[in-house]
Amino acid sequence: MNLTLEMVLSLCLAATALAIVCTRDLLGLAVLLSAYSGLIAVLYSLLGAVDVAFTEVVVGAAISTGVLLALLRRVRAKITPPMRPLPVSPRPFGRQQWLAIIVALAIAAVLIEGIHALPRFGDGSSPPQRHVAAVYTSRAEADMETPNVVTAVLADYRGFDTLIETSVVFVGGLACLLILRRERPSRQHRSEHATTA
Amino acid sequence: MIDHLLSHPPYLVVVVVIALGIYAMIANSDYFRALVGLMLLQSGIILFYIILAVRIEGTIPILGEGHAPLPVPHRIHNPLPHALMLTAIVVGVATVGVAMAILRRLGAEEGSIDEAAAQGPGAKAGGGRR
Amino acid sequence: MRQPLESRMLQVLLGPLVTALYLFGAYVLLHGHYSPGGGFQAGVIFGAALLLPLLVHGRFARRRGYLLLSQSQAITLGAIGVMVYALMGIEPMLVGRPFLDYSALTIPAGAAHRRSLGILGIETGVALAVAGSVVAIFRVLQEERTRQPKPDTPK
Repeated sequence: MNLTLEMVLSLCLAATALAIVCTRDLLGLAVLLSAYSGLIAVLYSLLGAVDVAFTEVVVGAAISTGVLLALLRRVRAKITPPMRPLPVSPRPFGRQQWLAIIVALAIAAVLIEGIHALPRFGDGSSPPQRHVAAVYTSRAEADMETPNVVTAVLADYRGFDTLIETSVVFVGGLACLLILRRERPSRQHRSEHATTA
Repeated sequence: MIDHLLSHPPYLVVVVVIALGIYAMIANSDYFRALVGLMLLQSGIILFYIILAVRIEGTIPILGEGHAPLPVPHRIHNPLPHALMLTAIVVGVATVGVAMAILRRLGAEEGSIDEAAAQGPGAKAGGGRR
Repeated sequence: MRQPLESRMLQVLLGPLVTALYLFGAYVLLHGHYSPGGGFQAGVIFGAALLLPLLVHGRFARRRGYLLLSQSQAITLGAIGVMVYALMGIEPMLVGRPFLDYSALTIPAGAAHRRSLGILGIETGVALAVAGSVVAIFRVLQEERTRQPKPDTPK
């Protein structure tokens, strides 16, 4: 793994995340999130997670951005050109923001301490690498003629988890539908309106 | 400790992104920006798992000629976190979709909400619905 | 989103692009055993192919020949996907084997090949489920009007 490339990519990602948090422009926010997804997909590829990178690119850069823009279009008119400048109200920085900074720094400190305690990066003898993963890898080709071990794990060895996760995605779509369902007037109302109209 | 972080840049990204995500979620009374913070937090956690799955001098978890050579032992990245994070990404987008539906419904129930007149929780992004 | 975009270039490019997306989605789904890919990625690509005509043509997309799903059609597609997955899991139970045991599917092939086909079947289910859900979420969020504010809400 090319350390310089990783360092540059990591700095870009950190900068993009900072921009996402601080930006005032909502359309720019959607574009920044899309760019962040693209960059992190490159990082996933560098770290060897090609399936995850593929998913992140299609989901983050395409669908998530589209969904975000659909929402913005409905709650804030005029984000399509010609764009009207956003009202420049000063951002409040009071107790809530200070609390947020303290909590974020505390969590960052806990994370740094925890990372320090993790096994050495890429260690082949750490517990996650040794037990189940080795079994899956050695048996995937023979068991089900699937060289893609991630698909084999996802669809067969951990197929029950994937079934439930798929239903979670479906339930999410269903929940969206139910939350924003337009109510049709009941038959009673309709007949009342018919007699009074 | 710092050089442990800097020796592997992805760890730095994890810490920064998770901290920024949590900051955005707490500091913003505007729920839309808090949702963006949640998306960053999800992304940081997924990256963390992917880092845990890396094996030095390993190849992508696809067997066959040109990739990891058979037979055992295979020096490939751990495929189990990859599978879990793959579903996590898709479930994340469904969750964010539900959150956006709730946001839109909140805006509809409370009518137009001006950002300058926001009181307490529930302020939506900008000028409400037109 | 209901007004079609004025750009002639987008309208012309949309046809080949949507075709390529459908084809690529099918490829990613079918080749998921041998290359990065599989059900989730293919489902999202199908979702994108279903949503692009909506972005470019608005409600005229059906008139131009593109497949367009309404909210209820999309969520039905999602439900069909989950059902396909669940049924492929239940089928081995009919012959007394455990749930989701693909090696016991009633297909005339060797045990390893049966598992491979079982994976393909459930990945198809996953693709349909994800495509349907993604299209449903998008359609719901970009809908023009939702519930009217209650008349007694002070504005």
